[in-house]
Amino acid sequence: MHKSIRTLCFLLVLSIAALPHWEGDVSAMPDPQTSGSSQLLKFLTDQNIWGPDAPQAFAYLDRWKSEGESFILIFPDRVVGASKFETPEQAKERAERMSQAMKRPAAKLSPELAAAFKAALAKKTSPLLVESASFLEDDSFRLIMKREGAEFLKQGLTMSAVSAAYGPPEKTSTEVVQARGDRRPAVLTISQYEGGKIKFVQSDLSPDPSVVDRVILDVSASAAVVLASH
Amino acid sequence: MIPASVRIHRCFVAASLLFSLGVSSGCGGRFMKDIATDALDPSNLADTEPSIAVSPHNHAEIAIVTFSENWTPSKGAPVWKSTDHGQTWNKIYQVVQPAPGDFGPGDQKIDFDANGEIYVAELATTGGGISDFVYRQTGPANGPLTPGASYGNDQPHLSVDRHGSSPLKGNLFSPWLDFSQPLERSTVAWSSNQGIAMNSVGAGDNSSFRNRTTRSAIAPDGKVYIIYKTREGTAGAPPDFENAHFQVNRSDDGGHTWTGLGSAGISVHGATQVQTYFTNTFGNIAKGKVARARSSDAWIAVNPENGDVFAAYVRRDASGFAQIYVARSTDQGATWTAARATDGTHNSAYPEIAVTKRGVVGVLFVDYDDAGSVTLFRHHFARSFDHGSSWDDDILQTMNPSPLANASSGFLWGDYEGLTAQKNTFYGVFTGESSGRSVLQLDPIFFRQKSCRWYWIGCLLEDED
Repeated sequence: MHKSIRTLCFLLVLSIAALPHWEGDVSAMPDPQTSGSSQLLKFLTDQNIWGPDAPQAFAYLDRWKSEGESFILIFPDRVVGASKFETPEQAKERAERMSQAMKRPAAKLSPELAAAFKAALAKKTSPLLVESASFLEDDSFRLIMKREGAEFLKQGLTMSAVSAAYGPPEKTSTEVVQARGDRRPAVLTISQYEGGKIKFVQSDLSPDPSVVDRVILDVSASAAVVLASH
Repeated sequence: MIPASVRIHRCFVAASLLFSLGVSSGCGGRFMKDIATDALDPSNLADTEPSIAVSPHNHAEIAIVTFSENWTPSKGAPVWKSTDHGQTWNKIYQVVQPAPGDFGPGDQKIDFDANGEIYVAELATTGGGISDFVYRQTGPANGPLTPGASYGNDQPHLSVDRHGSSPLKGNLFSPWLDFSQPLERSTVAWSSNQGIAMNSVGAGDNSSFRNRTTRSAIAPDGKVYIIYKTREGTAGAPPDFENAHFQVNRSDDGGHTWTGLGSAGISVHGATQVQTYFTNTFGNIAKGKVARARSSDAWIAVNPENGDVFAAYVRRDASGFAQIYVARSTDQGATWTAARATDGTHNSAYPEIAVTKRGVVGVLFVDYDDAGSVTLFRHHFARSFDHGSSWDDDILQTMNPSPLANASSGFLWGDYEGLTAQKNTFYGVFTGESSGRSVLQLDPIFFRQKSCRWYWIGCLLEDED
């Protein structure tokens, strides 16, 4: 065999032999999308973070999305839309529209979420209600989802517990929330994970400022990981 | 050899200079102290919007409230207390949660009555809205305070009538801003039973413009004064400023009516509008953290001896800077003479004013210097020994808040700070840079300064007690 042909054959065989390793390396690389989603799913299925009524609220993430809410604020006792309305009438109109949308059956939860909250989901609960209400912190009007006695965010969750479980936040910032009047403003400390898809917020107005006052969720990103249809 | 006539002339000039210096200058050393310590403030809280009161019964007893710890269902919010003229301080957790589910303190203001009993006006937020309460002492001095009736809304203040000469001694007055009106209205709640019942009365003129910045002071004859601003739009005003009038009105009947100076009151600067701050960015946002200055532009005080009324307010003048002006009325608010207390070189705001029993006027205020690479905020204390005609100004502290982790841009020290006077001494508190702490931060900084002329022998010899 000609020397150059022999060399070419050798290189070809070497390349074929190396191919599985290449593929192996590629498949071992974390898919940023999958990795981010699975980490967000880990947050959203963590029963140390959420109260027993969180999955019921998660099942309506698609309705928040339809109403144009990019983010929702999950407090222990209520879920609040991030959109601020200037007048109660504007908020009321949107609340009525979303109440209508809530009459349709809730979306099916992903198997992972359903499994994580199996016990909570097995309990019969009355439906969640949507209404408009003033949001005292900034004197705006907002959409609010709630039910008497519901617990969406775990009461007493501390930021140190979140950091212990998930590591330090990617970014921490503070925000002074100004209202119409000149009462003491809330100073929020916002700890961000997953590129801002989930944020844990502490308020200096809380009786215990080390406690997580609310969690801010990216509606689209969260719906994508907790709803089966997504 | 210098001729005798020249020597006599020189001697006369020197004596004249010394005499002028003695007449025009005041004396009295200043004591200043960071009242927080690592032990008292382990969470490194910002301690903003401080208010101060001194017991008329015993001037060694001083009380301060700031935004320190919040109340909880089981523990009250603190009052900082000193019983040794401010040398040492403790936190007394006595401002209890007024009702289950109430959050706070929101805004707060502190005062003493003539018997040395403490009162605190507090704003609480609930799911349903905002409520104010006046707390009173019903047990030991350091025991839990008792909240009175719910009243009011935004930014409650508090003045207790402690004048022995007043027919309304013991009554208290709490100005607040009524947001339930189409145009917000300055309102004053009065109480003749220590806040157990509060009676709110509209006091500001909101017929054309929104009101803001309501502050109160009580004269020795029991007449009550308020200052407030009418917010008259931004036409022609530069960014961060609005047009306004600063109005003073008077109640001659214990707060039942506010018509002592007509239905709208009297503008302390005359008919012409002034420009004052209405901003969330006091300072230079390109060079560091900034502060809110929206109802941080007026204060009122009364001479406790002769009843002269003094009003401090912010006015952007021909210097191009926001300046502190002080207006004085010697006829119960009917007419006013105003003069500038600052030097026309830096933007200034947050004036608080107080008057000693000999008529020395003190003004605590903040300005900023952004000539360098960072914004430097400076707390000043200016005093006038001639009823506000001229001023001696001292910088208490210069601070760059940017490196301070607990300084939140948009709300650095709050909307106002604390200044009061007892006998011949001013007592003040401001939120400034800490000293002696493990972590550099914002802390409440207390100061007191006796203020006498050199030749006021009685004043100089007078013990602060």
